[in-house]
Parts: sequence; C-alpha cells; structure tokens
Amino acid sequence: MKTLDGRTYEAMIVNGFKDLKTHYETVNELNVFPVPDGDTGTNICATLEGGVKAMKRANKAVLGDVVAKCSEGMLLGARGNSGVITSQFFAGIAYALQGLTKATVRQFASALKNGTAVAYKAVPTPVEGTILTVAREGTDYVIDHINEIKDFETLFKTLLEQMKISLDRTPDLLPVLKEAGVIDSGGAGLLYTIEGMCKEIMGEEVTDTIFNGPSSNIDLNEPEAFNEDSKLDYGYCTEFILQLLRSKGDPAKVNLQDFIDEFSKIGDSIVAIKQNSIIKIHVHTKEPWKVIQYAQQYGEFVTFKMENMTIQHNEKLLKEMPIEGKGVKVSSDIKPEPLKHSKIQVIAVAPSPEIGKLFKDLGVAGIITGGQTMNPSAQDFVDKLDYVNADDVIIFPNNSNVIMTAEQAAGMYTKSKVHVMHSKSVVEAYSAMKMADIAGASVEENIQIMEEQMKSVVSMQISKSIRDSKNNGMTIRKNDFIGIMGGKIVSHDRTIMKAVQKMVKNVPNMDEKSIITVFYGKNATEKMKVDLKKLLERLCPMMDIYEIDGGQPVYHFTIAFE
Amino acid sequence: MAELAIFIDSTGDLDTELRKKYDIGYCTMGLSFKGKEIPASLDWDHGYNPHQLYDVMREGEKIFTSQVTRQEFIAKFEPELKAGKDVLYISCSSGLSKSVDLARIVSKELLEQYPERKIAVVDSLITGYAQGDMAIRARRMFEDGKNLDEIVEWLEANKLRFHQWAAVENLNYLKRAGRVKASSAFFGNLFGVKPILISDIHGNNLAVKKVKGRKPSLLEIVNSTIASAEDIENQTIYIAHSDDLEGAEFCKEELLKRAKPKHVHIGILGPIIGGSTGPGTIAIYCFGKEVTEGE
Repeated sequence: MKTLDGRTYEAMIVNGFKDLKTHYETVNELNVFPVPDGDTGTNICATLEGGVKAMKRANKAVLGDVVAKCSEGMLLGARGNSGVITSQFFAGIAYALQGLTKATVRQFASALKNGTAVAYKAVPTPVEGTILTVAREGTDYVIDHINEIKDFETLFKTLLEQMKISLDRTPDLLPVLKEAGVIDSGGAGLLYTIEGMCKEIMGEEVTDTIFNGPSSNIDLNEPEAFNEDSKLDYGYCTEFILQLLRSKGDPAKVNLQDFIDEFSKIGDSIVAIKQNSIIKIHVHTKEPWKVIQYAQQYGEFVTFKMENMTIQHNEKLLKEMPIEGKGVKVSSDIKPEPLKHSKIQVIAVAPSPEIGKLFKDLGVAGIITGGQTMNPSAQDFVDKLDYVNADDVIIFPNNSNVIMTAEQAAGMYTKSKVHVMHSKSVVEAYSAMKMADIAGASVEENIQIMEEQMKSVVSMQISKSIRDSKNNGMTIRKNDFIGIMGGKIVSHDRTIMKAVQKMVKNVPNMDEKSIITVFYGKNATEKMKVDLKKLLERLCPMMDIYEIDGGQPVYHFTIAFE
Repeated sequence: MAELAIFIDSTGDLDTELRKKYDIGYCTMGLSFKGKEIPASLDWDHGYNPHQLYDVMREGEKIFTSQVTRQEFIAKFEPELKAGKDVLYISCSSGLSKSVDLARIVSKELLEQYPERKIAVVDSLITGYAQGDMAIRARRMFEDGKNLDEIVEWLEANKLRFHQWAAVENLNYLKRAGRVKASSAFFGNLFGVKPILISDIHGNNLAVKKVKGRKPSLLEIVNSTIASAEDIENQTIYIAHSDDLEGAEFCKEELLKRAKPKHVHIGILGPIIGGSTGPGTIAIYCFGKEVTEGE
C-alpha cells in the first residue's frame, strides 16, 4: 500500500480499538501500586472509543477530515494521563495531515513525528520510560529509516517492532517500574493500538471483545463458592425492565432521578434509562427486595434478573456486564438544565456519592463521580462546565491521573475561565473548600486560600496489596496493608492498624496540625473504624478527630491532617 | 446633682462581683427550655450553673431567649426614680434584641409620672462584657463628676470603639437563634473550622473569618484584640467563655505574652449570650479604634 486514504485510516483506528479492547485488562494490571486501581487500559480504550464514534461523522473520501474527526473525538473522550497523551498523539497526526485526501508514506511518517511532538508538549514535565518514550523511539526510528520504507506495510511493521523494543526497555528508564517488575502501562496501551492498526493493513483478523467501560474494582482474585458459611459480600446484581402503568400514576411524571436517588441509598453501580413508559434499571444491592418494592409502586416488571455477585460464576458475569463501574452512571439523552449564571462555581471529582454530597454541602456546584478506576473524560468536564455556567470555574481533580484530562477540557472550553487546581486526592478539595468563600470572595482570593490549604493538608491512604510487589525500597506481600502518602508507599504491615501507625510517624510538621478527618472507605469494617479512632486518639491526643463515611472504593481509610 | 442608677441587662454579662463593685443593676431577660421558663440571671441563681446550662444545649435541647419585659423595666426603674435617682440603661445591641425599643417606650411613660427625673437609654450596639464595660466606664465618669448628659454623649460618641472578637465552635446555635450574619461559606459541616465573629457597626454578630483548628482560632482572636485595642496598657481586657475556662486561660496567657494590658478579667458568658452561641465560645472584648463597616 503506497497511499493511505480516509476509509483505511478509519478501519485501522477501529482495529486498534478492537485490539486494545481485547487486551485492556492486561494493560490495567501493569500497575505500579499493588492496589486494584489500575485503569490505563480502560482509559486509553475509552479515549479511542471517542475517536471511533466521531469518525462516523467524517467525509470518508477525505483523509484529512477522517483524522480531524477522529482527533476531536479522542480529545473529548480522553480519560487519564495516558488517554490524554494518546489523544494528543493522534491530534498531532491529524494536524499534519490537514487538508489531504490521501497521504504518502513520507507524509504519514512525518505526521507520526508531529504526533510525538504534540504529545510531549501536552506534558509539563515529560518523564522517560513512559508512553512518551515509546511513541518517540518508535516514530524517530521510522523517520531515521524512511529511505528504506517504501509502503505502509513496512512502515507499521517497523513502527510496531521498535515500539515493542522501546516498551520492553521502559523499566530501565523508570526505576519505579523496575522495582515493581512491570513495563509501562501507557506504552503498552499505545502498542496494542498500533498493533491493531498494523494488523488492519496486513489483513489480519483482530478478535472483537465487548469493552466494559471503566471496570469494576471488586476484588475477585480468590472467589469462593457460596455455601452455608458464606457472607453476602457483594450483594446482588439486579436488573429489570419496568413497564410504568397508568393505573399507578402518570408515567410521564415518573422521574428517573427519584429511582436513582432511592437506589443510591441501598446500592451502587446504577445504570438507569427511561424511554417513554419503560424504565430499565441495573443496580448492585444487598437488599433487592427494597428495589422491587420501590419499583412496583410505579408499574410492573417486564423482565427481572438477579444474581449473587459473591459467587465465582459471577466474576464472568460482572465482566461481561456492559456497564460503567462504580458509582452512578445515568444514561439519559437529556442534559440537565444549566444553573443560573454566576460569577464563580466549583467542580470537583468525587469517588463516591457520599463524598459528592459532602462536597455539595461545602458549596461545590458540579460533582463528577469518578476517580480511581473510573477516570472522567474531557467530555465529562465540558458537560459539567456547561452545567455550572459561571464566569470563572475552579476544578478539583481527585487523582493525579485526572489533572491532565481536566486541563485538556479547560483548554478546549471557551465559555468560562477555567482554573484547574492540582489536587491529587479528595482531601485537598475538602480542605480547600472548607476555607473558601465562593460567594463572598474574588476568584483570585479563593484560589489563593485554596492553594494555601492544599499545601498545608497532609493526606494518607490505606489500601490492601493485591499482589507481591516492591515499591519505595519496600518488599510488599500480597494482602499486606499499605499506606500511601505523597504518591509513594510509605508503610506496609500485615495488620491495618500497624500500617496506619507506621504511616502517622511520617506526617511532616505534625506539631502544626490540629484537625484529623477520616474518610471511611467502602471496605472499612466497623471494627476497623473503632480501632482506628482509638489509635488516632492515642497517637494524636491533642487533636480534634472528625469521622466521615466516605464510601470511597479502593482505600479503606483516607486520612487528612490539617 | 441627682444620684445615678446604672443598668445593663442579661446580655451585659458582668458577674456579681463587678456589678457590686460599680453599683450596676441589670434588667432580666428570660430563658426557656424543656418547657420551663426561668429568669436569665447573671448570678446563675436560677437552678442551673453554667456547666449545667451548657450541658442542656449539648444534649441538643433548644434554648429560647426572651427580651426584657415591660414589668421588669418598671420594677427596676421605678424604685430608683422614686428614690430621687436618675436612670441610665445601657441596652443589649438593637441588632440582636428589641429590649431597647421597649425601654424607650416605658421610660417615656415613667417620665410622665416622674417629670423631675431623667432616664437615658443607650443602645450599646454590642453585648457581653463590652456592654458591661460601658456601664463600668459610665460609673467611673459619674464618680469623676460628669453628669448624665455628658456620660450619654461620650457613650454615643464612643460606643463603636468597643470590640468583640469571638471564636465559636460553629454557627449552628446562632443560626437557629437567628442571631448571626454570615455568608453561606460559614455554614454546613466545616469539620474543625471555627468562625470568628465581631459585632459590626449595626450591632450584628458578623462572621468575618474562618480559622482552621481550635487553637489557631483562639490565637486569631488574641491577635485581633491586640491589633484593634488602643492604649492597651491602661485598660482591662475581658475574656468570657461558655464552659471553657481552659480556653479562656489559654487566651489570657497568649495575650500576656504579646501585650501588657493593665488587667485581664476572665468571666463567664451570661445565659443569654451563651445560650445563643452555644458551649465552647470564647469572646474577648477591648476598647480601641472605631469599628468600621465590614471589619
């Protein structure tokens, strides 16, 4: 193949998406931290999906239009840092191929190089041994050997080979990878994408798999059969279609949000759809009878399916379920009515409905449910910016992997002045919002207060290791409790309280702190809560301790020292 | 010159000893809770000591306060007039209670019966020991030979120079009692964030600042007191608390580290003020530069 046209490019991207879909869980597992929050595969997959969908609107006869639409879709669909970098890589390619009906090998090779350059520019401080390195070394090699490359088959085979070599070398460049014994996940995601694109050119089949969206982080590593000694750990996956009945009230007046609000009290992973007089619900709950009782007030069931998710069999079921992960995902064609225009509003990403509510109480107008294992997309931020409708909008990401996405959205948004705070955990937003005065002070004053607060708060998180691992000079065993502070694992122990105790010793400037706030995670048991409170009272006798049921996934405790 | 009877009311907070020393009376407001009505006594002789009263609040019991009644004003003022004394009443801030309006009406009626006498009503635009301090200063002026008109003139000219710096646990009690002005940023569960309240030029409790942590909030009011006081070496600084002597002692200690006031008086927030702010409040009062809008 000597020239590349729009139709072929589209087919290549679709195939790249398919290939990554088949492997995204492998990519997710390439996680430096042994906690179940690996999501790079999911994020790049979601990013590509944005491109695939957007290309449908393109004029296939013009390559320039296909690449442009693809890039637009990826920029908006981008989730997580690797997703943002991937979207920028393809945006760079699109920019270089602008206006072309078809591209030659040389034109495409230089477009690839431009892709790398744009991707590098997207990152304030590029780190080698990451997806950037894989992109750069692969595309540089192609440019350096362009005289030997006569067709697209050779180009992609060469690119793929070189990227593979580069990816295998990432642990040599990035010590944290080497220590953890993994290769870079973002680079791996890009490699699968290029592999799929290559296979399309070579005419090789790529198996298609259902992409489940941001994955469930329920730990099913050691599933057990359900027997007389079992406990209902995960509840029931409950799905039904409800026909709203006129005899039970006007179907048009039944508000889907009421269902979501009600079921949020007793379950999670909610997907809710209303089409005319039909309501379709998916919810994970331990009390399915409450779901039935509530729904039947409005109609009767067309179908009803319920499965115990604690049983091993359901591991597969969970994975095959074409749903979003934790939290509430509302499928609705109707965008919520924007708020009345105001001067300043705040958007924050919350990992659970509980923390979302806390933020709302603190004056956050726009809540995006997400975080670990379910990074919001640039589009999610754009939608929320429309919703909060203010001259200045301050955004609080809750994870370092969300900051770039928020910045990408901010860069694309023109209706408000958007300020992305570099907050890496919910604690920073919480600490900042407590002291802010959104209605009373200027945006500059608020940002100054917020930044001061974010600087002084120390946050620590406790999770459980899902595999043997090495990090920060520590050898961590599977099922060890680990304490994470400032992006590093700082303590580990077989018991959770000892892991906390060791971590508390690492809090800098402890004598200046006077408030401790504990966010209890979904996985924290009542005993853990009681023990933790006792431990903190003993370790920090002079401090006020506040407890919040945060319901966050992954982390048993998130603790803030202020 | 006629003798002068000086009154404050239940928000004036002067304890028994100070009132005795400066011959200051007070008009009693009312408290009601658990279906009982009791006088808001500054002598705490209504069956509840401060700790017991704040425990009632900690248990979640809502305390209602009521202004000075017509009968109470007559019962306090008339005997003084009858005895040939003039009356000066320094009232609770009109921003917080309507007692002052009623006092003016009652005074007019009484003066019709005692046309030879004088009654002056001064709206202190503040409460607590600042209101009490005005009465003490009035007594001293009187003893120095100033007449009632001169005293009232001074009070009117200087009342905005009395400052209140209060650190409260939260605004929930005050909000419930409708006795605070604050933007929405001060409400909600702020987990460890303490609002700082001043008495503004209209005599309202105004939330001006949020401080993270109990100790930093106490240091904040100490520093603000020093910054707003004038000639601190020659005045008494009043520190009042609602069941937190330790906090008040801490403030005194920190104040003495940073400044040399003539005297520091630690007292208890009276049942009306304490009943509105809730337990754990520390308020410091001083005399200094004039309070300005939005301080």
